Amino acid sequence: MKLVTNWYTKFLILAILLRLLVMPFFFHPDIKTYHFQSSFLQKGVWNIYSYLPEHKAELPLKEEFVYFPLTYFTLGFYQIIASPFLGPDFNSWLANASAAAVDTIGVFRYLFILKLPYLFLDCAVAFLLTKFFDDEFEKKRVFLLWLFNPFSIIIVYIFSNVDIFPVFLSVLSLYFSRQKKYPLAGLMLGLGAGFKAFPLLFVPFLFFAAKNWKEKIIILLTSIIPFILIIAPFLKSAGFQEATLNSGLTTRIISNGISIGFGEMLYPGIMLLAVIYFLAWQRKINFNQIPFFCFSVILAIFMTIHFHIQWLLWPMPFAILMIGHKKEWAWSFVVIMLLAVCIPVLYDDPSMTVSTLSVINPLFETLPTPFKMVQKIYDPIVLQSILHSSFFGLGLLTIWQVFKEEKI
Amino acid sequence: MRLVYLTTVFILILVIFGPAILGFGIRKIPSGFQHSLTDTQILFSDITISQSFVAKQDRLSAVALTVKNPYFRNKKDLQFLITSADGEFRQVTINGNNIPDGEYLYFNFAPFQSSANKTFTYTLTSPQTTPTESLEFYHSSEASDGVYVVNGEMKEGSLSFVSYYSPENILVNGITIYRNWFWKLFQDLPFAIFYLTVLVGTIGYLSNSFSKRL
Repeated sequence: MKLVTNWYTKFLILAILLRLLVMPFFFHPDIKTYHFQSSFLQKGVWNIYSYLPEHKAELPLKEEFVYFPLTYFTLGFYQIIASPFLGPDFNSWLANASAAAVDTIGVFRYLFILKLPYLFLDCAVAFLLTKFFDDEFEKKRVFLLWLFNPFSIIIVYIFSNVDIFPVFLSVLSLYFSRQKKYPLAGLMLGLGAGFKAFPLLFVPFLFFAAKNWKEKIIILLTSIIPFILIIAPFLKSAGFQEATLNSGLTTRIISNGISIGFGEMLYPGIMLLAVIYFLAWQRKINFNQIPFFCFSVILAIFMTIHFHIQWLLWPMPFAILMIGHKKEWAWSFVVIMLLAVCIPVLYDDPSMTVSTLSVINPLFETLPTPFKMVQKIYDPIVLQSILHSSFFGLGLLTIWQVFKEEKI
Repeated sequence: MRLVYLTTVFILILVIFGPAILGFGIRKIPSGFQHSLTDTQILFSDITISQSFVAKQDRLSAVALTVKNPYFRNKKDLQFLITSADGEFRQVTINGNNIPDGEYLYFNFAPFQSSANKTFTYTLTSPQTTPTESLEFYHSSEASDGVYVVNGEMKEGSLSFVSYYSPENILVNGITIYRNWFWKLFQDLPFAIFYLTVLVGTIGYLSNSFSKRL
C-alpha cells in the first residue's frame, strides 16, 4: 500500500513541479479580465451583470461579457481569501488597461496565486479519474495521462480560463453516477453549468442511462433546479441575457448552416447532436458508456464551430477515460488534439501564441504571430479551414469508431 | 512512462529555453508602451495627419499605430512618410485590403542608423479615400514628446503610437530577456524567495524519490 502511495506522490509532485514552472510566467488577458470583473464582489456588488453596463463609462476595462454567476462568486470569493497574499497593488494591476500591465512588478505573484485553484482542481481530476477503474495498472495509466499530457497543462496554465471548474464538476458528476448517487451526480452538473453552460449537454445522457422514472426525475430536478436557482436572480439583467443568449457556444452553433431555401438552414452541429442524443435514447445506454457520449457530443460541437482553445479542456477527461479502457485510441486522440490546437493557434490573435510570454518580457509582443507568418506565403484563413475540415473528418471517423467498437 | 519523460522535457524547454529561442526572432525593440486609446481621428483624401517624436535609440525601423477599418471598408492606399530633421526620409504604402479592423499596424522601413535623440515627423495620407471609406487612427489624451497635427492644426494629446528600433545584435536579445526576467522576479523579493524555495524543495524531493527504484 505504501509503495502505491509513494508512486502516486512522486508523480503528483513531478506534475505539480511542471505546473509551478508554467504558472507565473505565462499570461493570457482573459485571466485579468474576469478577475477584474470578479474584484467587484469585494466592494459588495452582487449583480455584476447590471453593474458593468451601468458603470461602463468610468471603468478602465470595458469588457461587459461575464461568465455565469458561479464564476463571478467563486473567483470573487477566492480573491477575498487570497488578498493578503496578493498585496495592496493587485487591484490597481487589475484595473490597469494599458499595455504596460504585463510589465508590472508583482505580476508573477498575481498569476501564480490566481492559478492556484486550478492546480488544486487539476490534481483532484487526476485522482477522480483513477476512481473509474478497479485495475491498478489502469488507474496509474489514467493518472499519468491526465497529469502529463501537455495539452491540459497548456490549456489550464497558459490560457488560464475557468473551464477547469466545470470540467472538475462534470467528472465528479460522472463519478457520483457510477456510485449510483444520482442526486449528487445531477447537482454537480447543475453547479458546473453555474460556471459555464456546457455541462448541461451531459444531463440527457444521465437521464437516458437512469433505469426508472424515479431516477430520471431525480437527475433532472437535481441538475436543472440548482442551475435555475443560480441564474434566477440575474435573469432580468440585460447583461446576463447578453452573456447567456449571446455566449460563444449558443451563438456559434447556429452561426453556420446549409441553406435549404425559404430562409431555412440545416445546422451541422445540431444535426450531429441530434444523432448522438437519439442514439443515447434509442440504444438505452448504461452509465459506463456516458464518457463516450460526453466526449462525442463535445467533439461534434467543436467539429462544426469556431472554438476557443480553452474549450478543448472539456472533452479531455472523457477522452482519457476512454483511453484508460482502450489504449489503442490514444493516437487518434493525439492527432485530433494536435489538429484542434493548431486551429486557434492560427487565429489572428497574439494572445494565442507570442504574447503569452509578454509578462517575461513585453518584447515578445513584437514577434509576428503564426497568422502573420503564414500570411507571407499562404492565406492563413484557408489553412485554418483545411485544418478544421481535417478535424471534422477525423472527428466524425472517431465518433463512428467509438460507437461501433462500444457496440452503441 | 514515455509520456512523463516527453512532457517533462517539453515543459522544461518551453519555460527555460523557449524565451531565448523566441528572443532570437525579435527584430523590433519598442520605445515603450502604447498610450491609452482615447478616441479616433478619421483619415480620408482631404485630411493629413502628422506626429513628431524624438527617437530614443539608433536604428529607428518602424512605427506602429492602432487603426480602425470596419469590415475592410477602405481598400485604398494608405501612405506613410517619415522624415528626419536632417531631411532623410522613408515612405511606406499599405493597401486598406491588408488592414483589418482594430489592427496594430506596423509601418516597417529601412532603419535610420543614427536616429537617437533626433526629431522625426511622420505623416499619414490617403489621397483616394472618400469620407465613407475613411480609416480611423487612435489618438490619446496623453501627451508625447512631439507635436500632433491634423490638417495643419495642432491638437492636444498625441497619436497613440510606438516607435521601434532594430536590435544591435540578436544575441543581446536573449541575454536582455533573461536579465529582465530575473530582475522582475527579484523585485518582488518575498514571492521570489517563496517560489524558489518551493521549486528547490520539490526538485530535492523528486531527486531523492526517483533515485530509489520506482
